[in-house]
Amino acid sequence: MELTGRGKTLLAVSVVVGLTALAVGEGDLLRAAVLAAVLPLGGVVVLRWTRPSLESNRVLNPAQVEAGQSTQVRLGIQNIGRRRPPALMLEDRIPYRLGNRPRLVLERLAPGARSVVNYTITPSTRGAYELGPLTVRTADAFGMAMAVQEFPVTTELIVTPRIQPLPSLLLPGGAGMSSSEAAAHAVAITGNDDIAVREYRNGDDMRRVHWKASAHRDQLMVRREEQPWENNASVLLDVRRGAHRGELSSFEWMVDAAASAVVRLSRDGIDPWLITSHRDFECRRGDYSQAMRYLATVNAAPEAPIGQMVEKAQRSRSVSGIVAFLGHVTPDEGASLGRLARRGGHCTAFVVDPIKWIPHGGQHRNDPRERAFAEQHMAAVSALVNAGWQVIPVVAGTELRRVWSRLGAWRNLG
Amino acid sequence: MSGQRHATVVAACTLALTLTPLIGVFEGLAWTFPVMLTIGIIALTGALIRAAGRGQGLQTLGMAAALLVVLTAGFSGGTSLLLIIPTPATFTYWAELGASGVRDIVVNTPPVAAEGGILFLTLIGVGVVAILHDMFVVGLRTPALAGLTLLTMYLVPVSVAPEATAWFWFVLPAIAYLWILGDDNLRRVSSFGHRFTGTGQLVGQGFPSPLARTARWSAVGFVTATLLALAVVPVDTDGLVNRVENNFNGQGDAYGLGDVNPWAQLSGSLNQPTEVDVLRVTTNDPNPRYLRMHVLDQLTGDGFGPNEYRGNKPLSSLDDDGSSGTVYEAQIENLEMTAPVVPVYGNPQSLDIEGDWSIDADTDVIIGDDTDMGDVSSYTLTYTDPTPEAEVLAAALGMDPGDERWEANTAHPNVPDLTAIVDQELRGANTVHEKVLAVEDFLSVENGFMYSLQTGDAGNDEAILDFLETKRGYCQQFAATMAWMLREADVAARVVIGMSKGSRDGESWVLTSRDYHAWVEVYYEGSGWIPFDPTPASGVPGSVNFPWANEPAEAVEGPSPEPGESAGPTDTPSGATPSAENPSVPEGQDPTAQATADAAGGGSGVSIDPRWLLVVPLLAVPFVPMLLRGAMRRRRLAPDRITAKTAWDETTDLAADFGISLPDTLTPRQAAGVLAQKAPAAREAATRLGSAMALHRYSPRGADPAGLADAVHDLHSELDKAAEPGRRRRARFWPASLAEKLRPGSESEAGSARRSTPVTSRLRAAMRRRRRSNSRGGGSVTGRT
Repeated sequence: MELTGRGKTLLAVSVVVGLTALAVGEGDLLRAAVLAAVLPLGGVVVLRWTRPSLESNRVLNPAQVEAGQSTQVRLGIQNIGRRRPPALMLEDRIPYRLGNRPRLVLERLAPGARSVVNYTITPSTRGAYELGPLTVRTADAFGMAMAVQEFPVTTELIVTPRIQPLPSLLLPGGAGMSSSEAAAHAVAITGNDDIAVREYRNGDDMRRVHWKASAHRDQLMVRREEQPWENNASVLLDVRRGAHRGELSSFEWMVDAAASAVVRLSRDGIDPWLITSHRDFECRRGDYSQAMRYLATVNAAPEAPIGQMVEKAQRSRSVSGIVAFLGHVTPDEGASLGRLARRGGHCTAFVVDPIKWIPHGGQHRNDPRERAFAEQHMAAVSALVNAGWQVIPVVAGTELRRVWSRLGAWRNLG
Repeated sequence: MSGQRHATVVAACTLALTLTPLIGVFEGLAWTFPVMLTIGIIALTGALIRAAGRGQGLQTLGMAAALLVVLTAGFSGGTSLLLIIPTPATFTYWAELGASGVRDIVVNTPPVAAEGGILFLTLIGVGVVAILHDMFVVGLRTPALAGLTLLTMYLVPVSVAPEATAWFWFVLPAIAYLWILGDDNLRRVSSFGHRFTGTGQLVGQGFPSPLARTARWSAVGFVTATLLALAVVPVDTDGLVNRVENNFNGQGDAYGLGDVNPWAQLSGSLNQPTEVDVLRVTTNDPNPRYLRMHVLDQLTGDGFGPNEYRGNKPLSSLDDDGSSGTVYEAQIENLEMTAPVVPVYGNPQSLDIEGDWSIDADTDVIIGDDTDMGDVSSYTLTYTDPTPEAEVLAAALGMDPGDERWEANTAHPNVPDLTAIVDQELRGANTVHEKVLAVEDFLSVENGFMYSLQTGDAGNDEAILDFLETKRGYCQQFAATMAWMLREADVAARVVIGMSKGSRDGESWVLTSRDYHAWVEVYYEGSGWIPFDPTPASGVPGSVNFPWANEPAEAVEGPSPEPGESAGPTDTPSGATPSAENPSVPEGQDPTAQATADAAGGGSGVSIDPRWLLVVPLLAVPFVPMLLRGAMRRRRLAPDRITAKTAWDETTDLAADFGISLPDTLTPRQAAGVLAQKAPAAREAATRLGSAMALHRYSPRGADPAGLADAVHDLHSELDKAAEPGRRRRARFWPASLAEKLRPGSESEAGSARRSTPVTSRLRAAMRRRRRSNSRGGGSVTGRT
């Protein structure tokens, strides 16, 4: 509880005027000076008298939202004292990126009463946000003194990346099907038999060789241990800080795109497997919440080699397709990614074009560093293409839902 | 905004409330109309310009122009164009009018008729204060400082009208001030955010707030507390400066007039720094005059002095006095007086007093026989106070030269210089009354005489001649000179020392040590000794205007309390119809205009010279840079104006205020880093501001300004916390960024940006739009802001 600027000013003026009044002997001036002193001091006394004791809590509904969607924050305030404060000024401290601080005035909170006030916030960028602490200010009637009470409790709000509506990769008419039907359909279109065999790969156990089929096809075939009952797809996300451009805006693009892809694939019945150099999330049966929570807070990291990501992707049992969201890649990294394509399935890579991500209008054409980047990029892309990848270059302003349709080849996966 | 409109109304109403003590200064209530009109028009002009969305500068100019128009409409003297447009001749006329107003203020004692120069000056004052008040309350939203304008307005009446010092005149201005503060606070709290009642119900801005009730009862409490504090706690308001001086001079504590030398005692009492209540009089006389104490009828080269009093008539002889007229009764309570004589009014009829007292037959002074007023705690007096008609006096003869008292009352030393002056000044005067009035005219303020206590207490021939030359003196010089000049003209005259009527205190009158006074008595055949007071009324608190001293044809002293004189003019000066009678005013003013320059120095007898009040608003001057800086911050961060650019401008200015140098070579993010180092707690805020500015510069989409205002405020408070006390004070009261902008070198950039913010911000907005359309077209974005 302390005097406000106004209270201090008035007190200072009171002292000056009061001394002047005593010096020249003017009673009326002294009266004014005394009033100017009584106001702030009286304000403090009145405030001490009316200052409430409060308890508060905060509930989010929902606690996790997608960027661009709004969530309601409910503040419960309970007056546990015996005073009835005329007006409480509530201010919830929220991160600056969430917008202006919500400010509420709560009037006439009776002793013992509990009141719930709410405000809505609409975060526009993904992330984990701490809401709070809540500050409650009480002022006297003339704004002379102010009591500030802070409730240190904070609440976390998870904002997942914005999900773009993407066209379904299934055949037209498949969008309305239930998940299990979609899965069956997906199996059907891959053309696999009930007796599932596949070609022999290095490392396969000789005991699993299906000799009949091998003879029939004139190449070594092995039995599959488990049926590809559900289709799988890997979603790779490149989180190397150095690979991204434009103050990491290409990274944000990639995160949003990965999230959208995960959601789309999941809805199409193709269980996506989100893989980065550090973490991987298997989204079974349309439950992608873990992946989303991760994508809400993932940051570009200085140490996140492509190799680790490739290793994780190779561990997957069977993959019908891979979607990779990549930053700038070197030819070496392109080659290591190329290994993934050899296992079959469709591989599509969205690769940031390091030069064209931000259009410069041509004045940097002759920058040797830029030229080196361009050459690296071209070499890596050709390495990927040669390995069997479909490469889609991405520049700023590329809309995912437009290029997503180029994955239409997946419709006849297999 | 309706909030601003409301504040405008509050500002106007509070100013009007604060003017209520003027009731004690002016006669009647006719002055309220032009004053209210002025306040109303100025408030309306301010509100209209605000409604049009113009800045504070234009508002102030507009309000000043409105004041000019009001004054022109009311006081053009026929010199204006189309009634409201002032011409150069109008200003010349105003200068004269103002000068005559100053003269009237010096000469007259309240209550005065609100007309001509005085009304003009009042309206100017009220107008200027109304403009400042509106600026403080509505424009700059610093209601604490609005108290200074209210204080000025409150002190004007109370400093010129002693009756206005009563406590209840304080109540309305105090409530007015609390109203401003409470209303502003209410507005602040209500607009803090969305309003909910205790039951969680959302209510609109217009919903009555419980704060208003709290404000009302605490206002009552605070005003009561203030009044009680001054009533209960004994506060000596006699002035520290004077008291120190008093102790230094080693003056005693006698507040009476002894018989040794009444003059010295008079001078001593008047110069007594500590004003002490001497007598308290309760009387049924509505207009008590002066209390006689000593009569000085012996004139030598050393001036007037008292004869040896002879107590040769008993008190009981008072009853024999055959004078007629209303008999008044007065109970006089002695507070501090010690004197060998009893102060009495007019013609005493009876005196009920302890001790041994008798009457001096020649002078009617009641003197004590080994008894002193110091022994008397109170006494009761009945008296008549005859009011001779001026016509009767004009026709009356003076004292018969054959009278035995003639010699004693006309004797004077031979001073040739004085004789010459008297011969010249009284050339046309024949009767006693004509001579008396001629001398009073000669000693009048119009003739350049002024009241000044700085004169020594001498009354000898040299002092008198000196006084006639410098025209500065107090009652001793005025009274002695008048009596001397009259004796020179063969009129029986003597000097009386006593007390003026003092000031009213509820039912009674309080006479203080400042109320000691000297005046003149002139003998008229048939009417006896008639009092005259040549001293300018402005110098004598509780001065009495003797009606017979005025001739209806040539009234020289200010407004007389007779109703006939004041009733006529008071209804004319209303703002609506003055132009009709204005042309007649200049003739009345012209001859006296040259006297005003001298007269301007007068009025020192009042406890505060009203001109000192102009100093009060100067108290606000130290706050001006702070206010300007605050206004600039508010403008930049206003929800409808804020962009990443304005927020960043404010950030760099804050850095400058707190002495953090941010070279131009730093990018916004680097600058934000520097700021975050200085105020680690505000790292997040600084980063947010820096990246918003970077986005604003480089991103085709611009930056979202949401949350930037909070970031700036947080950065400000963190920088404030981190700074040293000296730096913090400087940042608040003398912000370096402001000084930089005012420096002529940077005028071109900062000055133009400051002066025409709306225009530049519109331009800026337009530029941003164009840039967006560029980016949508797919073209390259090269433009920077």
